[in-house]
This record gives sequence, structure tokens and C-alpha cells, in this order.
Amino acid sequence: MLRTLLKSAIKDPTRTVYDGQDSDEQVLYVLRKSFITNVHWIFASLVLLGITLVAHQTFSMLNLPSVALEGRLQMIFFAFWYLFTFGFIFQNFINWYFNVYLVTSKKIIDMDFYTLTYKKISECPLRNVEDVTSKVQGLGGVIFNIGDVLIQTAAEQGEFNFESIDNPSRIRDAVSDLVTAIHEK
Amino acid sequence: MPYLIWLRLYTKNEGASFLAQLENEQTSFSRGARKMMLTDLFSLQIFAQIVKVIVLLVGFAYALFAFIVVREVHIMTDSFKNEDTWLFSILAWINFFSAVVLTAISLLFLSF
Repeated sequence: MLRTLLKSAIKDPTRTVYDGQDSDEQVLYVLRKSFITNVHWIFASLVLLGITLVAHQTFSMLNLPSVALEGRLQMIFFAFWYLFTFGFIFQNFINWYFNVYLVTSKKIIDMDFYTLTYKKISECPLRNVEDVTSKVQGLGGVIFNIGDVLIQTAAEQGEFNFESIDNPSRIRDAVSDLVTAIHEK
Repeated sequence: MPYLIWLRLYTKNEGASFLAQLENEQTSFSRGARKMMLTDLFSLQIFAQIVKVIVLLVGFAYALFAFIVVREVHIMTDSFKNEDTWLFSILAWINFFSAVVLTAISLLFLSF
């Protein structure tokens, strides 16, 4: 439990299901964007927490007799601030966590959840996959081995793009092997 | 300096008694000074009310946002579920109830 909470690539995950899964279908890979891609909102969260701590210290040092920052109001203000910070962190984390790419024994699935109101799920049978390409680019990509895996399909969907995943070459190889195995059946 | 004493008294809800005291102590303050203080008090009251309304509006808005997050997590866990997803449902509900409780506390503390 919670072992896989921060992992961006999980092979043979246990107790993992998705909406529309067949009874004879197994989830082989759960992939997400690399955890490093979360740095921007983690930094913003630290700034939000830092501002609160500095404000706390400043108000206690100055002991300002201000109406707007009177004792009870000050307490409520900081409680709301901490709650906003928690909400900000939580919202960003679930957006990362649930935007997954699944590779199952039958299909590849791309689940996208953006903001609060947008949900898009695309899937393609492995037998329709024509070409798999991995791509690593940029300084960050090379340093952290982060890149994209482009999966060209014969279906109307066209192309699946597994963006900013860890070790894209390994994933490309795994998907290719699965596709080859399906075609050879 | 009297202005700062004033602010302190006002924030302790002692503004009314202070005003009564002010009316009696004719010798302490001139008529002009008292008029200026009354104007200040009126401005402060308006400012305090505005702050309270803003706090409550923000509380309600955040509670609504937290409820949308609860629904969002519900939709997400319907689409994809593993051994860790129960945690997100609990955290989303905690976030929502915290927002509701905090807004209710604000309503009580900052009673109009």
C-alpha cells in the first residue's frame, strides 16, 4: 500500500483496473509523466507555505493593532491560507496521478484529465499499432532520461503520445514486443 | 497615538463604551478631535465589514471548489483504480469538510 504513490512507471501493477476492462485483460504497465515534471507546482507550494511562515513571524514581531488582522480574523486568514495551499497541492497531485497511460495485454489507453471539467480517454487495440518511436530531447530530457513515446496506429486516432515519461526506450521496447507477440498469434 | 489606542479598543469590541466615555470627557478632547475620531470609526467599521464579507465569500467559494474536487476525484477513480486511490477520495472529503467547517467558524467568529 502506498508503495507506488510517487512512481511514474509501474510494471505489472497489482489491483489496478480501469473503466471498460475485459475480464481476460491484464494491465501490464501504468505510466505517468516523470515526477520531475511536477517541480513547478511543488516550488509554488513551497513559496505559498514560505509566505505564510514569514507573515506569521512578521505579524507577531510587529504586533500591529490592525482591524483587518485582529486576532480571530488573523487565525481564520491563516487557516484559509493553509487550506488553499493544501487544495493547490492536492489538485496538482491528482492531475499528475490520474493522467495515466496504460498498456494492457490487449490495448493501449491514454487517460487525460485537465482542470476540473475536462476528461478524455483514448484507446487503441495493440493489433492496430503500426510503429513505435521513442524520443529524448533537451537538456533536462538527456540528464534525467525523460522523453516521449510516439505510437502510430492504423486506427482513426492516428497517434498516441506518451509524453515526458521516464526511460522511454524501455517502454518503446516493451510495447514493440507486445505488438509483435500479438501479430504473431 | 490616540488613533492607535482607538484601533486597539475597537478591535476588542470596546468601541461603543469608549465612545460613551469620550462623550463624557469633555475636557479630554476638543470637539474637532472627537468629530475626526467618529469619522475614523465609521471608516473602520466599513472596512471591517468589507473584510468580513470578503473572508466569507472566499470561504464559500473554496467550499464550492472543494466539492468540485470531490466530484473530480470520484470521476477519476471511476476511470482508473488501484490500491492507492482510496486515499484521494478521503483527502478530497477532508478538504471539503475542512472548508465547510472553516467557513462556518468564520461565520460565527465574525458574526455581523
